[in-house]
Amino acid sequence: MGMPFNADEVFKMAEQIERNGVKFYRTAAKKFPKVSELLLDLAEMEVQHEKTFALMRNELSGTEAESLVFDPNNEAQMYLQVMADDHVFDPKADPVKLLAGIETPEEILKKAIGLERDSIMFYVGIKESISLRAGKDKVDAIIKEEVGHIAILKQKLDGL
Amino acid sequence: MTVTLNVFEVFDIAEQIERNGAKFYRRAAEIFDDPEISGLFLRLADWEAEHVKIFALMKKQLAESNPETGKSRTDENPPEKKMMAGLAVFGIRPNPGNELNGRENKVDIIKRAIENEKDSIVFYSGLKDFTSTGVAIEKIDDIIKEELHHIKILNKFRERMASVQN
Repeated sequence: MGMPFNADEVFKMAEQIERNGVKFYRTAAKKFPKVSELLLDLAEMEVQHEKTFALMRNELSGTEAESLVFDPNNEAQMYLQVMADDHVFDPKADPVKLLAGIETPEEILKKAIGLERDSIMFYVGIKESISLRAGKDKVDAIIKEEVGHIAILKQKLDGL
Repeated sequence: MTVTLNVFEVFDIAEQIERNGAKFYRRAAEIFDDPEISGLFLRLADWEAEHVKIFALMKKQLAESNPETGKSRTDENPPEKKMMAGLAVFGIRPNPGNELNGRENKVDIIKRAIENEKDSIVFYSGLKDFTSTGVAIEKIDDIIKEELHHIKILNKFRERMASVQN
C-alpha cells in the first residue's frame, strides 16, 4: 500500500484520466471510421471533464490542496490506491497502447465501455474522499455523465 | 430496437444484481477450504442479501407513492430510460453460481468478485438518477459505500494470498 493521496494529487490523477480518455477516443476514431463520429463526440466531452477537474484543483485553497483527503476509515484511500497501483487502471499508461489487438468497431466499443467503467470507479473513490467544498457535487455530475457515456456506447454497440 | 426501462424494472435489476452477488459468494464459499475465506464469502453473501431487501423495500415504497406510472420523477428533466437499459449490461448474469466450476484459482475468484462489485457500483451510480427523494439517494449512496467496503475486504484477502504465493 502506498502513501495516502492529497486532494491536489487526486485531482491531477483525474485530469490525467480524462486526457487519456481524449487521446484514446481520438486515436480510436481514426482507426474505426464506422464509429468515429461517436468517438470524437466522447473525446470532446472528456475535454470538458478535464477542464472541470483542473478548475476544481485550482479552486482548492493551499491548505485544502496539501491536506489528505477526508477519509476517516481509510476506505477511499484504499480504493484510489487499488485503482492507481493495481494494474486495474494506470493513469500514467499510454492510452494508445490500449488499442493494440483491437480490430473491430465492436471490440473498440467494448473496450471503451470498460475504460469508462474504470474511470467511474475512480471518481466514486474521489467523491467519497473529498469535502463538499472541494466539489463533491461536481464529481457526482461527472460520474453521471460518464454513466451516460456507457449508455451511449452500449446503444451503439447494440446497433452495430 | 432501443430498450427502455421504467423505474420498477430498474429496481428489479438492482435486486437481481444483489441476488446474483449472494449466489456467487455462496458458491465461492463452497469452493474454498480455508474456513476464514469461506466465512468471508458467506458474510458477503449475507450482506448482499440485505441489499436485496433494501431495494425491494425501496421499490415497494415507490409503488405506494406512485402506483400508476412507474415513473419516479415528476420534474421537467426525467432520466434517460435508455441509460439504465444500457447499464443493465453490468451485473446481470443469468447463472452467477455457474460462473464458478471449482477449478478456478483462488486469487482469480477474488478478482472476479471485485469486478462484480465494481459493476454493481456503476449500475447504482446510474440508479440514483431514477429516484426523486433525498432519502432514496442517501440509501443508494450507503449501498455504494458498502460495496466499496466489500472491495476493500476482498482486496485485503487478495494481497494476503498474493504474499503467501510469493
